[in-house]
Amino acid sequence: MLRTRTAGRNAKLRRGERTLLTEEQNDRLTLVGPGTPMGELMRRYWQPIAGLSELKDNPTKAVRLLGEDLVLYRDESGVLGRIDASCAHRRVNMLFGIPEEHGLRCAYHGWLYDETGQCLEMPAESVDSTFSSRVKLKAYPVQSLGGLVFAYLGPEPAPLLPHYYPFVEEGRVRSIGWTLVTCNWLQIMENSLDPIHAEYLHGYFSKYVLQRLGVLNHRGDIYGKRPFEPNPDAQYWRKMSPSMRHASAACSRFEHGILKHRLLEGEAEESSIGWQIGHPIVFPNLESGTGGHDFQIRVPMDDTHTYYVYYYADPPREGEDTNQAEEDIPVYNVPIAGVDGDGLPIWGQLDNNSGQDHFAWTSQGARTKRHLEKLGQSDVGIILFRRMLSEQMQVVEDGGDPMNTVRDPEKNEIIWLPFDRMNDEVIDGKRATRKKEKAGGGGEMIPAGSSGKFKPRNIEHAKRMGAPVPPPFPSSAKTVVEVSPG
Amino acid sequence: MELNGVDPGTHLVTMSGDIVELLEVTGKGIIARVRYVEVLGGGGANVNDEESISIDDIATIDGDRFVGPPHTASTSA
Repeated sequence: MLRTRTAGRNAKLRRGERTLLTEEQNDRLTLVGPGTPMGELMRRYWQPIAGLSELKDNPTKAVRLLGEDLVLYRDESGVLGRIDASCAHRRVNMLFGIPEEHGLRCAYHGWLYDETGQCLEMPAESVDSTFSSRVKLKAYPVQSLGGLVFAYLGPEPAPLLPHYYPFVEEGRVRSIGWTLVTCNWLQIMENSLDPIHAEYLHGYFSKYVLQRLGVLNHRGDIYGKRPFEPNPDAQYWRKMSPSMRHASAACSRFEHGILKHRLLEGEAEESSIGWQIGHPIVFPNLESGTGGHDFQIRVPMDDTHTYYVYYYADPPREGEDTNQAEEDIPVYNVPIAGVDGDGLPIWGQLDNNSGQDHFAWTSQGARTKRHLEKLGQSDVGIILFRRMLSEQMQVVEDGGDPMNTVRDPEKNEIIWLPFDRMNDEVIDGKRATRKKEKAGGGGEMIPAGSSGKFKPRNIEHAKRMGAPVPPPFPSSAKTVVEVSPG
Repeated sequence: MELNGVDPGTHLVTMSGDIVELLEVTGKGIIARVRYVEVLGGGGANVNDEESISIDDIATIDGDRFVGPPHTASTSA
């Protein structure tokens, strides 16, 4: 059959009038509730939902994951549970429950549940009643690793919780940042498959922001022909990032996901580690951070909210203890960029990579309308990722185990990933240290990347070194989503 | 994607992620006649459908590595 695009899904030949993805395809890729194709795929993976240290002061936490509202708790014997948020009796919120030696007790009439959701006690019922044995809340398995609490919502038997190296390698100092991002998880992940955005959003736009803030006298030009000009009178918390200029970009599949390849100006393909090895995106929702020992994890809470985790396993600075107990790994909030009362950008929120990313993702709308977008050839990473997601949804629909689910304990002792800034040991899929890893993970100034501006460890270090620290985070009047048509 | 020098029979990736086989390039080099080889769920095409599509609908050559444009505008400006 020969068809021309004079009718049907892609009616025109002229660029800009065709449909990249149908709305139905966009729904398949983005909706994560129970019974949706993507929701079923995501349920095959352990998802982080909290820092273990959060449960020291507050032993219960409300957690929305993949459209399901549950309560995470830690009982007095240290057992973690994640059960339905509403008591089976009168639907009172278990967030206000009382942790007992074994289980969580409802604050209203004292019904007690264990980590499987089984009701153990109904104090007001007859002592010889067997009613409690027939009452069970929905519950899901939880495990902690590296100071994070992970939940699994899929069918049993659950795969192993993957031991990626940042979670388990020795001799590191760990910290956990988090943000509630008010948009769908996929547009955040697609940012990771898009190496070019770093050149503009974190390069040229970043310098425009610094120009607006008076840190630069001039931002330079977009092609790097004219360099930026610092304001000699300005002292600011962040250091200037060198401009990154791509000669080409590519993405390839590997055992655990996708490798993002960059060839920068002046590099040769044969000798460029960034081109030859690449930067790992771990399927389906993790990206290795630029430090190589950190992750950014995008956890779908529901269709329009994402729990964003910045996980760091840094080399120790002098005097720092690398024997942190899991429950002592600090957790901090990374505030999200918004807009002022007039719906305009707040430049002081956008002077770092995480603020720039937050603004970009949320300004695409709560859930990007992909049927309206226009991709170019430089978007091949996004295209590959969508393709892999579609393939793996089909695997699940056919009853199989999707890629990167771990079931062999021997392979899960520690999972190393290739990384573009490592030494030659990377070639065999193993790696030890970064080529130029600095003790302490950087100089005295606070790195601008990801959530570095907000990491308490960085701020304390800068203060000790007498270096500038970030000004207070300006408050927002509205979210970016509220003022963005998407 | 410019298709100069790409041989008929080559598998290409469309912007929507489908895999197509190049049959011929027409329309002064801006239209590709293709046959669908693999299609993603939820779209309108079927395997073995033949269509004429714009070269702007083609992202890259299918293979182990999805490669972007050889030189971004920033490097040629």
